Amino acid sequence: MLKVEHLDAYYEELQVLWDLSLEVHQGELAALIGSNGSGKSTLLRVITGLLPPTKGRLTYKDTLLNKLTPHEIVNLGISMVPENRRVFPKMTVLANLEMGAFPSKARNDKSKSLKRVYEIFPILRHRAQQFAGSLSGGEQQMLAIGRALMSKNDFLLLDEMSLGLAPLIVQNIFEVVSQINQEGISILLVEQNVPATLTIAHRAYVLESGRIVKQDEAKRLLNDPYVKEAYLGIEQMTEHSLGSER
Amino acid sequence: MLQTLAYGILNGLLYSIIALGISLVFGVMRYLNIAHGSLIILGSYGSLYLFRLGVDPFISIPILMPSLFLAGILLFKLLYSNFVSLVEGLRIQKSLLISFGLMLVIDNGATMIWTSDEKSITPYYSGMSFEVFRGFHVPLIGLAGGILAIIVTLALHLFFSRTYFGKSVIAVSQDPEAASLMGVNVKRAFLVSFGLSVCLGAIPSVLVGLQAFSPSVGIQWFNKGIIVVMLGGLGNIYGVFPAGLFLGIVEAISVFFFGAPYREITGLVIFVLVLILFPKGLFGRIPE
Repeated sequence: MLKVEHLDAYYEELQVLWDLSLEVHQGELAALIGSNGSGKSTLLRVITGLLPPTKGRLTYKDTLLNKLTPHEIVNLGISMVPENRRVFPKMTVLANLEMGAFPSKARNDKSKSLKRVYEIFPILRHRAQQFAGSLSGGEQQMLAIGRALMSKNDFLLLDEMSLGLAPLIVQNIFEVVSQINQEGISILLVEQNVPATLTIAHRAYVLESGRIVKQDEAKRLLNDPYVKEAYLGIEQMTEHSLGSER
Repeated sequence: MLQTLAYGILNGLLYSIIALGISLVFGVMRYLNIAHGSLIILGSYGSLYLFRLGVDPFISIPILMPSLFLAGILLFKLLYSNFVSLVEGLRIQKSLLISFGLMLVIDNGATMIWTSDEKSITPYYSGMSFEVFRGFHVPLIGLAGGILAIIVTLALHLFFSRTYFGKSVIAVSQDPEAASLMGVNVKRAFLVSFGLSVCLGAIPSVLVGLQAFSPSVGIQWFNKGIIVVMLGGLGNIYGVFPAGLFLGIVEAISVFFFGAPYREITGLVIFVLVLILFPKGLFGRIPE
């Protein structure tokens, strides 16, 4: 579905991504894990068209993305839940959700999508007339995911959605993401919360200093000695670690 | 006193419609367009020519609006479009420099073509007023202008609160990058906002034209506008309406007490005082 081949990306003179290849299949929940500054968010900026790639090919359903602008990529079917939520603070929750349905194909089904988002996140219905800036971090994250779902796109990029949230809420959101994926939306999940991510993902890539150093099925990576040592803390591998980090 | 107040309110409405154009561009794309006043004066010349052809100045507004809109779009494409993706601070700096240059070019170009003589549009009804009750007159042109200003402000409000495109412009003003991730064409939102801002100048064009204008007064009207924008809260489009009225009324009262020569000073003194006491403007600003 989404294919990244031999990608190099730069911020000005600084090379951030090196010969990066990655693929997300239809219906899959793929994950990209790695520590701070490894280039995860940069990759998402390239995929969404916010940062033009220097080398390599990006394709979505066989359409070349390299030269497209962000709004063109959204219209092709890729939606992004950006890092730090980035909700529109001085717009109501409802207006934020409506903004998510901006692509013309999503507008006609706006009320249907709204109902679905409210089913997934009932709290948003109660907050509908509140300014988005007044919501708690967790609620803002739900709003950001809901807003992306309003686009009716079938591919979702999720950037650091657990950042700065309470463990209980993180767990809740991970469950929702898994559920959204089961309803048929392909997802690329970018996370620092490695145990929770590997628990729900099908496949995962490990990114270090802008290079993919490992890729495998998520279950296998959970037991991979290298991943265990670098990202999980060797003996922490129990159910309790779900959502307990960061 | 009541008479003074009435003049103040009508003047204030003119100020707010000028400020609305400046604030729209600043609020949405963080561009400071110093040439806004000069563009208004260009519109005044346009209206003067149309008047000489027999077109009533108020009828010339619907002709000026689309022409100014197109002029705005053209200017944006030529001068303002290649730094839309820079950070906020740089956008303010670059637009400041470019619009300053544009202002000089327009003002001096206008002086070359039309000389620096003061001109005025003088339809048969200029200077007319009607008496509401004994001793209380309302100038006809001022009243019509005030009503137009209110109508346009309401229309703009409806555009921003009811249409999908208008809402997307508000979203862009709060977070352009996030808006682009929603599928909003940010460049187009910028382009249309800039065009709208220049197009809004058509009303002050005619109202200033009906008073008196020359190529050099553009900056003076910009000054009034920017004071109102600051009073209303930088980036707060809805603040300019009450702020314009406030400046108009305060000026009128100062004229009543201290005489007309001090009118310009009052505005600036109020401006400095407000900046010291309420740095966010009288009506707050959109938080970052």
